[in-house]
Amino acid sequence: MDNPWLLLLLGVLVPFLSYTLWGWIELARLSHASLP
Amino acid sequence: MSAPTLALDVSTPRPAGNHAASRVRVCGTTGLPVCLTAETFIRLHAVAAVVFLLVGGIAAILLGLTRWPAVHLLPAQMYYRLLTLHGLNMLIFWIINFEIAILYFAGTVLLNSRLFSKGLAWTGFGLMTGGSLMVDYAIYQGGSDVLMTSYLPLIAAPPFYLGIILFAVGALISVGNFFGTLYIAKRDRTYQGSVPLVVFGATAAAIIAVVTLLHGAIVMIPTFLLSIGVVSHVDPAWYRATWWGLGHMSQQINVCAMVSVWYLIGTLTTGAKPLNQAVCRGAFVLYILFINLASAHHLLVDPGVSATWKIWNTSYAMYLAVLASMIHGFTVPASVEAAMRSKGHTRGLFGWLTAAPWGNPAFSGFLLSLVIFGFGGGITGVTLGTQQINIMAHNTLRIPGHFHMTVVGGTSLAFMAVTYYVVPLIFRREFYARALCRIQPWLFGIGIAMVGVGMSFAGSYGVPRRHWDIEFTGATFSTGFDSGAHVMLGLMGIGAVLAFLGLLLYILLTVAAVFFGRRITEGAMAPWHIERRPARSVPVNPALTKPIAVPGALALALVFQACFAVYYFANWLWLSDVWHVR
Amino acid sequence: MSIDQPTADWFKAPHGEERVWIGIAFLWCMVMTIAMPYWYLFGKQNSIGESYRVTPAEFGQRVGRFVETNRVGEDQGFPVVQPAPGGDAYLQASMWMWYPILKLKKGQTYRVHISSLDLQHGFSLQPLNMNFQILPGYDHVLTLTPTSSGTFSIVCNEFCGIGHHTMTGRIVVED
Repeated sequence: MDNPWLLLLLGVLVPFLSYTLWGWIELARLSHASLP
Repeated sequence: MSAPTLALDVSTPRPAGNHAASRVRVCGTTGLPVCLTAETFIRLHAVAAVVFLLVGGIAAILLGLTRWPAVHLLPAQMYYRLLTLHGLNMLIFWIINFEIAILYFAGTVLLNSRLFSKGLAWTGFGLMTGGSLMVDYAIYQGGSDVLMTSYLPLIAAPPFYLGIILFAVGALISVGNFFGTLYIAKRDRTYQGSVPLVVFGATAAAIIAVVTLLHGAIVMIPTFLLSIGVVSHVDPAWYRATWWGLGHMSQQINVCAMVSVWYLIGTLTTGAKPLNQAVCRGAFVLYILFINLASAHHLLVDPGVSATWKIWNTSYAMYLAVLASMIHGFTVPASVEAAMRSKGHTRGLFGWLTAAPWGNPAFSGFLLSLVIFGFGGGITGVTLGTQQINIMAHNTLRIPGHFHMTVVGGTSLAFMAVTYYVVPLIFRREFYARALCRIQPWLFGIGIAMVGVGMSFAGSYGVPRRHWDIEFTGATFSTGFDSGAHVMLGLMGIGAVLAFLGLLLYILLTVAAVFFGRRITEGAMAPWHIERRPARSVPVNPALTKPIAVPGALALALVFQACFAVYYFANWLWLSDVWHVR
Repeated sequence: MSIDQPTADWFKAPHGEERVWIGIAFLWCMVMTIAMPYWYLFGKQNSIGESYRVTPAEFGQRVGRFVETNRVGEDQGFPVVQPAPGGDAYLQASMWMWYPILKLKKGQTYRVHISSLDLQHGFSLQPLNMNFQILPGYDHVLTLTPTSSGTFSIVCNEFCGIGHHTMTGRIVVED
């Protein structure tokens, strides 16, 4: 807890991977509508 | 003879700081070393913050009087324009400027260090100020009525986006300056061991600011390029997901900064000490890791992202970040209780609270902020952010109801409260009209609570947010809302008037003090309250190592938990009544 | 105090009321953690975000065909369209209307495809207060089962320009 640099790294990486990158991947994997 | 208002522990000698001899002064009230360079920038950012608060506040009352259907003040285009202005000036310009001031304070004064770089401070301030003026001018010109979120494919004028980018870069540079200060403080051994808790909280805020501003850059740069025709398409779903990395994560900076300010005010007004440093710091670490996942709150009924993504992220990783808030919500009042009990105020369950310095506007503002944020903002936020419950809430007025209780009744009120120390200690001026200072937090707090409650209830009738006319004049298919919704909007309107008066009062009192207040040239600031001796003085043995029990804070926390459970389950019940949908 | 350096041995376990509260709060967080997956599996109201990429032109065309094949009436110049029970229905949002009017049967399940031809819009069904986000380029599919009958309004609750507050629509459900 006394290492702000480690906390900075984790604080950027964890939300970016879990929220942003994962979200982008989901959007990229959408398929085209068949409109039945 | 009155007891000192600031019961600070100055018995432990401080290590030598790293200031140049002419660039530091010792505070006459707290004994803390104040870096004069940092002081300049605390002042500049605090002044900028208040200027944008005024701009946002004038917009606020006009908007409130428009959404109050009985008044319906503004015409449609002006409503959407001022709504754009209000969101940006409050959620970004007012609040981030104040937070940079807090970072400069925490990194220097509390660490006995000089500011890392004057050049970076000027650059950051310049870019932030230039950027915000550019945005406000773009809005004023009329080509950027896109609301704060500026959702593509709605497009604004290029200076709108460029201004936001410049502001974000300036803020990032200022946050970098804070990290630089942490670095030199450690390198120059200006403090021993771990940093104080308030500094740790400020660091958490700074870390969240970095990830927020990075998202801002990632979303705004392509959008700016779109607005000038360099890029031909930016996907709206990608934009939403990335923008909320800026939009919601910035609110989490506000949470961390607010909680840090709560600890600070608790100490300054009652001598409160954290009961357990590991618990408080652990809670901040949970914030750092998980609170930002909740940007997913805004995408819960969106196409494109799956239920798994929605549920995991909106849960802040199994609610660990909510646990952190619930912890702070207890430890902050508990530390006040422990401090008051140790001074002898031990009557009953809440004698410590009734004897607390309510006549001190910093204290009353702080406690109001805690209650409004916790009971109002926190409970509604977690509930509305529940994936399925959001079906009943998305884009209704329940959302602004929630966030007016968190970021306005919570963070902004806490910032107003701490101003009652910032002005005497950093600007070194006394406030006039102290009786008015004492009522200001109540006027603002009660007003904004009414705004939040009125909006929340109106929203539960289905009233939409960001909407000029809920009578739908001119629509092909007529519709409307229950009269109960109109009553609630009236409550919101009256609350808006009170809150605006409270905001105006804060600005007038602060400006009068900063420019015309009696200078404090030496010695301590005039105390806001006189320490009261308890009716029956219970002598406390300082050698007693047994920690002080805090049953009052626990009782309050249990009441909070009960309210939370009732509200949460009631919402699930209401959800079960709507149509089936998947 | 919160502004002083802590003593060197600050890393201690919580005790007393603090420990009790952390325990209660943690339990509550676990209750909330289970609630969403529980409702996902057993609850009847969910937003799984089922969607597909589509161009506004393609979607507009499909809506046109849907109206042609399933039209049963008209109201205020808008076609009233009845999808087959259990079948697909199409609804387009554009500045500033919802087209067409859907006529559904209570208790039947429909796959309602909603998209926008221009900006982002908010599908807000009143007075039920069910709300979903509608994006251009995305076919947002709601598997919907009306559990009540009557005439319902669609309000747009995502800002979409100066006519935003006039953007209303209708859904009719018969028994």
